[in-house]
Amino acid sequence: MTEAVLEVRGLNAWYGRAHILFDVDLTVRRGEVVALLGRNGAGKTTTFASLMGLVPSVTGSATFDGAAILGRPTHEIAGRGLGYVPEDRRIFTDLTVDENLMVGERPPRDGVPHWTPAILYDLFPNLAELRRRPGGHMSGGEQQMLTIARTLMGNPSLVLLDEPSEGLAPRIVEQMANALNAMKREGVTLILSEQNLHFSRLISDRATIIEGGRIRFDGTFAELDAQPAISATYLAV
Amino acid sequence: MDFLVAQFLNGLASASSLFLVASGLSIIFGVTRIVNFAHGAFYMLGAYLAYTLATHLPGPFGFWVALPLSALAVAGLGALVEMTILRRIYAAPELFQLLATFGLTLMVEDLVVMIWGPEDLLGPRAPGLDGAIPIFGQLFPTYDLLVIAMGPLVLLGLWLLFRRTRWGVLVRAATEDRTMVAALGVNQKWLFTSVFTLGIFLAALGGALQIPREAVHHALDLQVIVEAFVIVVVGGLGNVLGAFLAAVMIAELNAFGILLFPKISLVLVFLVMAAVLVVRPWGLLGRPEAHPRASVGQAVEPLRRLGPAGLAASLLLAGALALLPLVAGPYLLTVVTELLIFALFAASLHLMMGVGGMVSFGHAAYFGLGAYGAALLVRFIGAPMELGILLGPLLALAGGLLFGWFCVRLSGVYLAMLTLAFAQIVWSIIFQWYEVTGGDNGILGIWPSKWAADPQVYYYLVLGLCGLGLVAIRRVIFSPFGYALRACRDSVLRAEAIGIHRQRVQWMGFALAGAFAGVGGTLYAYLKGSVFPDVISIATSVDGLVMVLLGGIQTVSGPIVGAATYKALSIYMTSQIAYWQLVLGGLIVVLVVAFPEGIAGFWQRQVGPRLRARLGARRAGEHTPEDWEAAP
Ligand SMILES: Nc1ncnc2c1ncn2[C@@H]1O[C@H](COP(=O)(O)OP(=O)(O)OP(=O)(O)O)[C@@H](O)[C@H]1O
Ligand SMILES: [Mg+2]
Repeated sequence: MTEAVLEVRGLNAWYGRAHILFDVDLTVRRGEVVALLGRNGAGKTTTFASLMGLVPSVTGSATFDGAAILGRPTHEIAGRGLGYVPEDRRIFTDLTVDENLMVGERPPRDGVPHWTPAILYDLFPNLAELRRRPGGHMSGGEQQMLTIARTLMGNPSLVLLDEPSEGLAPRIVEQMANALNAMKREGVTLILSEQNLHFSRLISDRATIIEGGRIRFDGTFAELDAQPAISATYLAV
Repeated sequence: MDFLVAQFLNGLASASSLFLVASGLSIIFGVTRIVNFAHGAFYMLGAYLAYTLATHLPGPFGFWVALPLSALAVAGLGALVEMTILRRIYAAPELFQLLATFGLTLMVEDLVVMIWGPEDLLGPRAPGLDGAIPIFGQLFPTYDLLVIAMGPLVLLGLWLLFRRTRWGVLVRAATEDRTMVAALGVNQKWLFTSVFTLGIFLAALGGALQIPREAVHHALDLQVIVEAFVIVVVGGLGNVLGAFLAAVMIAELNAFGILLFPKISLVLVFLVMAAVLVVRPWGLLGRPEAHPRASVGQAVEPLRRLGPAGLAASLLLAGALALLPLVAGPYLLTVVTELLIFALFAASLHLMMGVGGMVSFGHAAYFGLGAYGAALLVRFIGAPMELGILLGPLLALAGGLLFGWFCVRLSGVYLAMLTLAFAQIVWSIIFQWYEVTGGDNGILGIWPSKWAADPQVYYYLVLGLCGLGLVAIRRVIFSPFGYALRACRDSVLRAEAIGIHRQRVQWMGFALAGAFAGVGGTLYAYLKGSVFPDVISIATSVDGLVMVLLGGIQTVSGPIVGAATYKALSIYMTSQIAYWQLVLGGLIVVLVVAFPEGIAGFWQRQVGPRLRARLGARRAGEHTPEDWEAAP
């Protein structure tokens, strides 16, 4: 079995006085794609934000690439190679596509794929045609591709991808699935947060279900399918 | 005609220098969100240093080396300030940085006088460009042509820097969304330092360029900072091209306003600024923020009612104040009277900022309107004090209603700048409308009625009225209206979703705060026996800000503590210390760095809980109903 890139143990998080995450455990191995599944408000975004140092009060431990990251500043965590694609995309709307990629650019990292604009424009052909367009003048799907490409420019050893299919037209979702599978073939390690079981199944190796800020299931999709009650309880729409 | 061309070119030359300063201010604000009050001080330092270097460096090149060299030196100082002071307080509530930079400004003003003396200094002429060339028959200084060229050149340079370098792209990205830039692995520490340094370099260069054109003096900083604020806001915060356009506009307005409308020349700029902001709330080329930050005053800990201990302390304080005349002489009584008045002034500003989330850079307007309201009644109908106190504040209320109507259409720094514009408009009107207000000479002879003429009696009168005012403000804060006001501060969308008419609520809050400030102003007029335009000056407005922030914006009693501390300190220092601005400014900087949550906030969050734990007075986890405000 390959080494764990990320190991989270007993993660708790609060917004003000509201306790949101309860003893969350999570393990991701190199080259793996893990789906973090959960309904609206289950705590997916909060899990990612806690790992990125964006939630002020957290406890527990998180080891990424051998280093403890909880409580470290955001830029340092990202600099270690933890890539983050937020659900609200947060494209720099004033910057062109090229410039957005430039902001994400980091030096190459050993043992993980090295990305350049040329490779990314191959992966996301739509973006190649818009290189000089300001980020604010792009469709939702294009922005979603750009925000992923921007994070890949940092040559991350693990990407936290928050609901990439949310609000996209079915045709675009399909393109997205293809692009994510291509990334996977290149060797990108991913945690994919999703409400859409069908979409995540196309890409992921393993499923983790979160509900009410607690992990309720962790296993393969085959195991998940064997217990229909679980998805019915925690995921049903 | 020829004269008009010359005047136009003159305007352009001033525009260049203003643009340098304003672009620096704009860039710094864009990235670091710091409203750098010290920007004018750095401009002034650039001018003084250039003066010294230009007069001491030998040869014809001395002058030309002096300009960039002084700008570089001041920029180095700016970097030092960023690294030693500002860097520690980026996480503090917004506007704390403003407070720190205000402290720095005070310090620089005194330092400059200590080093260069109080006299105006006339810089040397520029070697090689000291002549004049005829333009349409009018002689125009050659050097000014160079200055005119500097504006577009710097604009081009900045454009290239921001478009063609990775550093520039990072700066633009950080201007839009700092958090995302950090999440992409960029350490913003050095980005901030470099941006601040560049901004200061531009300010200092703007100052240095002026030395052959204008005398260098120690009041340059305020003069420049106000114009720079106006330009940055009119152009759009963080937008360099906007700053350029606005600089040209404002400079030409200054150049021609004095010819066309001499009577209202001072008001003109601010009228234009107000008009632009009402039509385009984010300035000419600015844009609303994509990820607006929480507004000022939004509390981590919600405002709390007085607990039993607090109530006891307040009663004790009131009792002590009531007994004070038994031990205090007339001088001390007058001082404490003034402290009381400023406590009300600060509390009214806190009502607007801390509770209403509307930062005011021009709260002195309402204080001044209250004072002038009474003074005009005395001057024109010989009204007795009773009538003055009753009706004087109405002028402030009227001002609050009028200006507030415009201001609540904006938010954040733009709103703050609009309040500054209105305050300057009021100041200019009072300063220039000589026939009615006496201008500079003020209005004299505003004395209390006979029965209240004794300092003791007047003290009791002020104690009673200010005490009532403070209690009234407290009641407003904890009334349904106060909760609505706080709801608008914390989330406009959610407030409107539950049926609160945001603009109306904020408008009423604004006007009410103005009226309370007006009561303070009226009492102040009768205390001093006279009023001068100074009561409406920026200095008074900034004093109010310092009191609120120093005391702690997130507490109800903070402004009162802040007002008492700050006013007492400044009264003491002005009378005892020669370079009191240096000491007071230094103290402000130290306080801000040491207590980024204000004095009362520090007490409430750090000392209070420990005391309570010691005494075991309160059960841990005991919740008041208001605790739930923090939860979503
Ligand atoms: N800034 C915040 N302050 C207070 N509570 C918050 C905040 N952000 C999220 N929450 C609460 O935390 C809980 C978890 O939210 P989170 O955004 O992590 O869920 P999610 O699984 O990402 O949901 P979604 O599918 O809607 O994105 C929710 O109950 C939400 O209301
Ligand atoms: Mg989410």
